[in-house]
Amino acid sequence: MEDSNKTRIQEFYATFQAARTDLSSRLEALKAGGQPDSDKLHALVADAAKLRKEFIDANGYLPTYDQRQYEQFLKSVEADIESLRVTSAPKPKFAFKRRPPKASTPSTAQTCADHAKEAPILSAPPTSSSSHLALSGHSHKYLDGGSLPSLASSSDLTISDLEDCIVNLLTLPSLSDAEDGGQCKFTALHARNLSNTVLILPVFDGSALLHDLKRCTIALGCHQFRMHASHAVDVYLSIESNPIIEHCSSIRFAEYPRALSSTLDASPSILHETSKHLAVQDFSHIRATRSPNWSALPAEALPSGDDWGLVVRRDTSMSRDDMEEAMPRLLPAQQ
Amino acid sequence: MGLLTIIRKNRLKEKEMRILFLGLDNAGKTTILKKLNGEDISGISPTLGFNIKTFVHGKYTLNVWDVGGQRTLRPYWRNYFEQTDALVWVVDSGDRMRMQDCKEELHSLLLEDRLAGASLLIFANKQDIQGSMTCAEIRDALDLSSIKSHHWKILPCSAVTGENLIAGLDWVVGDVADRIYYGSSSALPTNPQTAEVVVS
Ligand SMILES: Nc1nc2c(ncn2[C@@H]2O[C@H](COP(=O)(O)OP(=O)(O)OP(=O)(O)O)[C@@H](O)[C@H]2O)c(=O)[nH]1
Ligand SMILES: [Mg+2]
Repeated sequence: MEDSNKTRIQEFYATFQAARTDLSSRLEALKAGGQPDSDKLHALVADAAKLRKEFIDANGYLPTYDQRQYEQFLKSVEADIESLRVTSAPKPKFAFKRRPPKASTPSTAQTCADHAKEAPILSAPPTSSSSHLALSGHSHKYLDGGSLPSLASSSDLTISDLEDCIVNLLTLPSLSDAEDGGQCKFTALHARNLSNTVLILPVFDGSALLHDLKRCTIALGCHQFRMHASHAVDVYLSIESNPIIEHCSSIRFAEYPRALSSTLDASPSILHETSKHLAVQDFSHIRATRSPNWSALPAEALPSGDDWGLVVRRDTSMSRDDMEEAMPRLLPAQQ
Repeated sequence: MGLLTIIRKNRLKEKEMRILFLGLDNAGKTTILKKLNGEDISGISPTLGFNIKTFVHGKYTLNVWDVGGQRTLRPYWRNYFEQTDALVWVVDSGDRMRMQDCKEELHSLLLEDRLAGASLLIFANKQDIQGSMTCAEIRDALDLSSIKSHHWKILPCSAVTGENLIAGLDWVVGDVADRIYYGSSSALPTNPQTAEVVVS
């Protein structure tokens, strides 16, 4: 233990010194060159941030004296970068117009206090807390779009406290105010406390935030994916940013099943080839080594199109027997 | 003369402000800043570490620090407190499940010595999503009215539509300028619109 720490301290020292020399010389070059080259500056910002990150990670085993030295250097580099960014600012991409606060501008009128004061008079349509899509507190149930209220526009979808359920929201209720039979949409997903549950969602424009999942399968497409404090979950994902896990274990990732995407009409940009579902970042394991908390789902463990079909290619609800047949084919194996 | 002294001098001369964007992960911090900067807001990944953006706002230069809010990163927020003029706390207004968490993180930040005196703007973000909590609901859920230690204001906003983003920065800049550039004793609200401002 002692010894391994000593090695790590030495290794970090070497890494840091190398980075230090590199950053300092690039900084000097930028400072000397008049108007700083913005690409070079950006690269420098990124590398300084990376070094800061590595330093933070190493803090656990570095002696206090070393920490202080490293910290001082990083601070001065960050400050130098900041002042360089200021000197490079004279031609900003974006500048605010000076806006003298006028009593009549809607922006200044939109504080909460004004809402509260004006609401009774103007009777502005309040965004009522109940008007969002929510599924909560079920066990041993098949839930689909019919279990949700019909809303007028895109909304937040909240799913919580489900046990031994199959949720199929590939088809959502039709819009309450549309004649053309358009579907409700959701633009954010919040999920918490699901166990032994299969969750099948479409591809949507927004972020997904999930906590406390145990032995679940979830299929969805979204802009951002964050999963916290979960265990034994298979995730089938279409995504354009890095999926995040934190305080998770035994998570497996695969692409969004074609058996599902083929049933979606007018689905927004499903990414098969370019999806980043395997570019997972484990925030509980920010190191160069591979995170032990997730893996790619091996091909032989992928459910077949028929397996998914047990849930999605149907126009009736699922009976208890149907569910018992489908669950083991879609959920991760019991441990 | 040390490096820091030089920086401080520059800071005064150039009327700089340092603004720290914090909030739980998924709140929309990075998206708000990209939107303000006229950048594409699709394909943003959750922030591992931090980003710095520089804006020119009237006669001020704003150095905005956007730090990742995932739970494992929160202990490192304190590395960014030094010399902060304003704190912008961004809230995902649809995240009912974590309002308690959000409240605790905010109130513990307000106890930090190095943030004492910083102006505090709360952005109730994602108002474009139906079913989001309203600004008044968030004010109550976060118990903002108990804050006596900082000038604060809450604004409903959306990083997608851009609603109120500039208005928010206007307030921040005005409040900081009153304090550090025109003497702090006169920072009483002069305008009835800033009824939310609490003077300690
Ligand atoms: N509909 C809607 N979505 C938003 C809004 N602001 C942000 N989002 C989405 O919310 C998700 C999170 O946004 P980010 O900007 O990455 O959040 P962050 O606060 O920087 O998160 P961390 O970096 O993890 O701390 C993204 O999918 C955004 O597209 C908004 O005003 N409306
Ligand atoms: Mg971010």
